[in-house]
Amino acid sequence: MSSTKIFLKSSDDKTFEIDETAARASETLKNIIDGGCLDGVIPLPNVSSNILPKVIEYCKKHGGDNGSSKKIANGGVDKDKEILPDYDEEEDKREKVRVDELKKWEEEYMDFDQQVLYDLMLAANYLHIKGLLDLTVEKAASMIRGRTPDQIRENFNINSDFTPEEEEEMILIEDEWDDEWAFD
Amino acid sequence: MESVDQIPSEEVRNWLELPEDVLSLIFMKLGPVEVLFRAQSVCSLWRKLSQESQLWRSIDMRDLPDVMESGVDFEEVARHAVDRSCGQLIEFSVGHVGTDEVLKYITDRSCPLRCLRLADCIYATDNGMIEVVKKLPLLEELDLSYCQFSKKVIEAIGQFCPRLKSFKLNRRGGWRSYKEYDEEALAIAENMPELRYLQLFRNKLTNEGLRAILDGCPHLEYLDLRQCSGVNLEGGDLKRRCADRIKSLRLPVDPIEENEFDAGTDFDDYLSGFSEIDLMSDDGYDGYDPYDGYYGFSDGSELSDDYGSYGSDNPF
Repeated sequence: MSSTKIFLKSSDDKTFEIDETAARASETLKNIIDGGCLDGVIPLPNVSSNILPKVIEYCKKHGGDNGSSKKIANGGVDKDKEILPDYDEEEDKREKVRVDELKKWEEEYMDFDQQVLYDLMLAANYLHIKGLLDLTVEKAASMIRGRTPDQIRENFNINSDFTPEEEEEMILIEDEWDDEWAFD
Repeated sequence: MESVDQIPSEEVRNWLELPEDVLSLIFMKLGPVEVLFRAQSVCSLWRKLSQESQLWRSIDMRDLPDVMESGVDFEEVARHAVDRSCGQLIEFSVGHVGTDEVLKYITDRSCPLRCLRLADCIYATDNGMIEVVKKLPLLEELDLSYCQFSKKVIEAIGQFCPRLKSFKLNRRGGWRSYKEYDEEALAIAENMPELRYLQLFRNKLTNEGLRAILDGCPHLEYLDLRQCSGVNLEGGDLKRRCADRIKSLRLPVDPIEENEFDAGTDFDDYLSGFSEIDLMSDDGYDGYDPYDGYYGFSDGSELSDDYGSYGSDNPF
């Protein structure tokens, strides 16, 4: 199905094409399109040409709906689906295949380093792409989860800026924690 | 298609420059235990952010290691997390840490909660829970799965939580096993007329209880009866009545997803309409998103009117 083309201009003045249906995965773009303020090219001063194709890739996959596979996967509850009396088992199977495929796609899509994660998270936030923001934020959380403050600082290149007194207080808490509960 | 490899990433990003709302989302994903014991000790900026009350509007303490093994006082963690919410808490989920004392502490210090999930609160008692329920006039979503409350609690909910729209009372096998009884189903039918969503996984109700629920809960849209072995929908009119009335029905024989009924599963997040992102949005909590959550309300205006005033109508 063909759709109107939208043009997006990155912060470094490169132009990218995207279908309108795909662009609607972004709340920000959707508002611009619906607001009728569309004047050829939409400038995105906060998104560089390095990351914009990655964002477009996500939007293409999710065009229209801005959820993630998680929603569909869990329980398969669909309020529009009439389960009785003509429950369509085939349809249910197809849906399952679709969800599995989407999960696999997400897994591959999310395979990138920390810098890309940072940029993508900012872009998703700026463009209000809820599903992408959720995915990226979860990935960031998974890089923190189960690690000591020292490991987190090292991982994210953060310097501790506590006063010696605060530091001391914190060390006590950490020791207590480490002794008592080893994370997975 | 552009590949990921083409994205240059030699520049090191400064994570301290991450917008606060994004970092808050990360902290919400981490949950109270990780934030209190780890993240807030990373640097002063993260510490400051961890003290923002907004971050603590939704507290989920279901997915914890065994209290005895860990030696950590999770009740203390729960109290600490609630203190940080500064009365802004709207959604609280807890497992076995949810004792009468913890629940009392929470309800005494919060605006009336909208959502309470107590799956596996085996130490909470009827009397403790009834005192809690009295302070929850705005409660819309309640999960009492795998707890040991009697029908007295359901009756109290009917009396004090008139807005309840979503209720879960799932069971594990073995609990009063092999004995079919409709006590809970009848109590639900008599006391929860506003229900839209009802999940009764492995409940021991019979056709009689189901009939009472269909009569007593006229707005019900979703009903989950999976593995309710006392319900028999073959023959008779009951199956037709369910099909006519319920938009989404899960039958006793319907399959369950892997891990679906484990504590702390994301299944809950799917069903309730607000995510971390909604909680952090500029508009604040705007209730269940009719387009996002399972049970949307047909009247959108009711949503905005009711929820828009949240915070200003605290009766306490």
